[in-house]
Amino acid sequence: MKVHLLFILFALGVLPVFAQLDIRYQKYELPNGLQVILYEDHTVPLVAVNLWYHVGSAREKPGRTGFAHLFEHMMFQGSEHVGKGEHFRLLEEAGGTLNGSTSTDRTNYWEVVPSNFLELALWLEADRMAYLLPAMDQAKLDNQRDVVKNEKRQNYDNRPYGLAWEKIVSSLYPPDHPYHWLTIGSMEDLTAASLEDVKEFFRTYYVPNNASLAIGGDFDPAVAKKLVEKYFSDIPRGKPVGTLKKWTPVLKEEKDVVMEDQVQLPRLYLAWPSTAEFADDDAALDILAGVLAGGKNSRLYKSLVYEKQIAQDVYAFQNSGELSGSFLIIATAAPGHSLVELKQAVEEELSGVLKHGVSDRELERSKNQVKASFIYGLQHIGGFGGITDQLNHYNVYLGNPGYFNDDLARYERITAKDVQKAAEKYLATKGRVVLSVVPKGKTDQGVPSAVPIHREGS
Amino acid sequence: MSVLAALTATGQIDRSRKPEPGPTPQLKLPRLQHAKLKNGLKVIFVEHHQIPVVQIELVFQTGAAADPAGKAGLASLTAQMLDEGTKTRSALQIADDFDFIGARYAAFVNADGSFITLLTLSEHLKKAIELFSDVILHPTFPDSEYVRVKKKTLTALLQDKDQPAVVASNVFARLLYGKSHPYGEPVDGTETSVKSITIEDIRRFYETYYRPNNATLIIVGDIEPGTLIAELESAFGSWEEREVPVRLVPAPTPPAHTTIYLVDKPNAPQSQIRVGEIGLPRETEDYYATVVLNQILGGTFNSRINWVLREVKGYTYGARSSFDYRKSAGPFVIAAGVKTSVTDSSIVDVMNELRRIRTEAVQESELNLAKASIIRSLPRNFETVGDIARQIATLVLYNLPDDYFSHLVSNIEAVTAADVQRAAQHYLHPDASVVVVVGDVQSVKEPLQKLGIGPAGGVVLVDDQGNPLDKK
Repeated sequence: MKVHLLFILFALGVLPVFAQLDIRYQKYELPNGLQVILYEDHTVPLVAVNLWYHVGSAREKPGRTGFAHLFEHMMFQGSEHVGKGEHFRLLEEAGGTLNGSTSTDRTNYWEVVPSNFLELALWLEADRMAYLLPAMDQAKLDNQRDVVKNEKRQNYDNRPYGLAWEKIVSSLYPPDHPYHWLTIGSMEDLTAASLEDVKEFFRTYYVPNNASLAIGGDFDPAVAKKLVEKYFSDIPRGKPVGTLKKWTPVLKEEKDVVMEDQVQLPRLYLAWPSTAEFADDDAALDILAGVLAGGKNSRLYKSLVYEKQIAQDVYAFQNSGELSGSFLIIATAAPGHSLVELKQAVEEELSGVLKHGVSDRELERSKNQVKASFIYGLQHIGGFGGITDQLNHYNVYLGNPGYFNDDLARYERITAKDVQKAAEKYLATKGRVVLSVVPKGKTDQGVPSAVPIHREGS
Repeated sequence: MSVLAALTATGQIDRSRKPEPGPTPQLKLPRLQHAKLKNGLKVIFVEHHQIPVVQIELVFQTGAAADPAGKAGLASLTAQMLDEGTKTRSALQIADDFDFIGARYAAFVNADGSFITLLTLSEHLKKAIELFSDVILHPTFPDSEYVRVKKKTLTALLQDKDQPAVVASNVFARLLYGKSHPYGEPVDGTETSVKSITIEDIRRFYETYYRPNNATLIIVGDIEPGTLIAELESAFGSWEEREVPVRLVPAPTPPAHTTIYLVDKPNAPQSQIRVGEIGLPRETEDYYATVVLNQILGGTFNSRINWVLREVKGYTYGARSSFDYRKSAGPFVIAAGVKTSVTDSSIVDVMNELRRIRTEAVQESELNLAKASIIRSLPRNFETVGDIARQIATLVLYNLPDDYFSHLVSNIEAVTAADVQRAAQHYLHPDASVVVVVGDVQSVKEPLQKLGIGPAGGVVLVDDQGNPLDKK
């Protein structure tokens, strides 16, 4: 087995604008294709185990949406050598914390345990990678299907504006784009999921050659390597999993949607197709989002919330996944103000950026916030966004777990011109989604458009 | 180590045996260094040089419990208004200064305290302290900014009406403690109370309670306390001490019997449920017994209530219980969002679990699982500078000794099944609880009435402030 030792050798404190980070890790690959990343940090007696499977809702087919996420739930229901409920119980008994999540592109599973429980964590992860199917039955599927439906009710159906996102992705992306549906799926598709469907999904995607395992924290690498060998090396390699095409649709015209919901205030969502994560303009769009809505002095916040006081809140973000991305501006109207007002004010600020660009101070402020976030994030070894999660993120999407400094560098080199150009390229077009979420019975509060409005009740 | 010995031979490993852990690693608890400025401000330093970041946390011993009657939300608004203008900086300038160095400022309160926090890169620590002290010492509370902040707060309260979880928790607190008890009011206030709060109220609250002798400054991270103390003296030295009134929280009246209160959320696919009663204060000899009790009953994924409602019956995405230990007795509450059609069944299951843990001693295996999970999760509370600062804030608020954490393990280990049962019988009263349901009245009212809970067996319809609606 090949071992690549990579040391990033900079001292903190000697620096240009951006600190050079010292993330020392080892990466190697087992013969069955499992990629393994080891990162030592003995500050606290904890160890984090983080496992990415390169499968998300983008792998689903219409009619079977919600699968990857339902499957994530099934992974916690026990495997051949681990009884139902034991996964949670053993990790809790160990004083650990655990979770998982499903995105469009990947499913991650992680636990953080006291360092003397590393072997337990690896045994559990290996058992569900290799031996989930013998322990899977209809009763478990039915139970978790109910849990997922409750999750949808709690986080989407019973939440103000909870159904907006589904409307956005289905309007932005055509039915044949893998981002057209939500990871939570639809109630009908969840009901239709059969045990055989679920087993087939597992056999295809939950194989070591489609996975990346990161271990971080207080452990001995020699011991960790032996444990990984012990538990993972005899898991058979699966069939190769193909890559999905990266593509972003072009919207030829504006799509206007008005949706009623149990809300007090109307809210405006503007969504433009943009780029995938790490693509050329991705960083410039992140910086643009910061200039537009990152803090009191940002263009949109200062104008809409602080000065004009026509909005209760405003957000902007570059929402990029592995295959594609979108740029969002979201604003909630203050009482007595309309979405038409909001849209006008947003467009005014946007045209300011398009015509005159951004100032040096705005640019530097946004970059400083990006850098600081990065460094604050390094405090976490495990969990969502922790170092082990980040190592896997870089490894699965770029093949390079040590991308940290390159990631910082792609922000550092952004100029004011880059930001302006990105705004021109992606936000100057009429090809976007304009979603108005309005209180029940108030469809007239939606943004009107020249084309017939597609009305939705919820 | 036995692992290496077992692996000398190649061949099939025995996956059926759960691997045993190695010896428990030593947790290095943070070392608290105490100091005091000339004006009485207590300072606690913790050096933590792993990452070049620093968490600054100023903890005031006064929180929402000090809100005067009719002015719920005052403590919270005062904290929020600090960074809306100082003698030398406008609100926009303050925000720009913090944002430019990538520092994260936050101000919030709970019943017991007010917390002003700042996370910064250590390379900007000097500037961070300058900005932070300016905001604490020299706020001007501009009228124009307050107009904006007040409007925003009222709008946020308006939006809360659509958050069933928020409504459930607020109504629960109101009905459990009653209108005239500070714990009965939301920390952020209500529409009525916030409307009545003036900028003068805020100035007065600030002058009264924001005093160095009422606060402790906690600084955790990549710091040199020796040099830092001089900077702090310079930054905070002009802050004047003054005697601070103590606001006593009256003893609440516990419910005599269980009543179900129902708030209508038409067509809701889920009901938000709260079941609970008056709990206990932080300074109680039953603290460790109730912590273990809660862990078993509803404190974790594997706890009885979550296990039954989520993993066995599929009623919910998650159900938990908690004791809110405040300076006075905060609530004990079980909370869950359940599918509408099983609202009644969920309440039955919750009541059954409350009864069972009183009448039967918990199993040794459950007890050991609960204690192990509490003890072993301790290191996770000390990972980031924010985590460490938060733990110290708890010591500060509740007057706990520096060595509290080193004794925590043995105190938890000492809890027995008999202790847990005693605590359950003393503190859990399913027949004298408050039950709040925020859900679709049309679907759930009759099934809830059929449960026959409470003396008249009826269900009381209330509005989103907990006021009874006229009988139909």
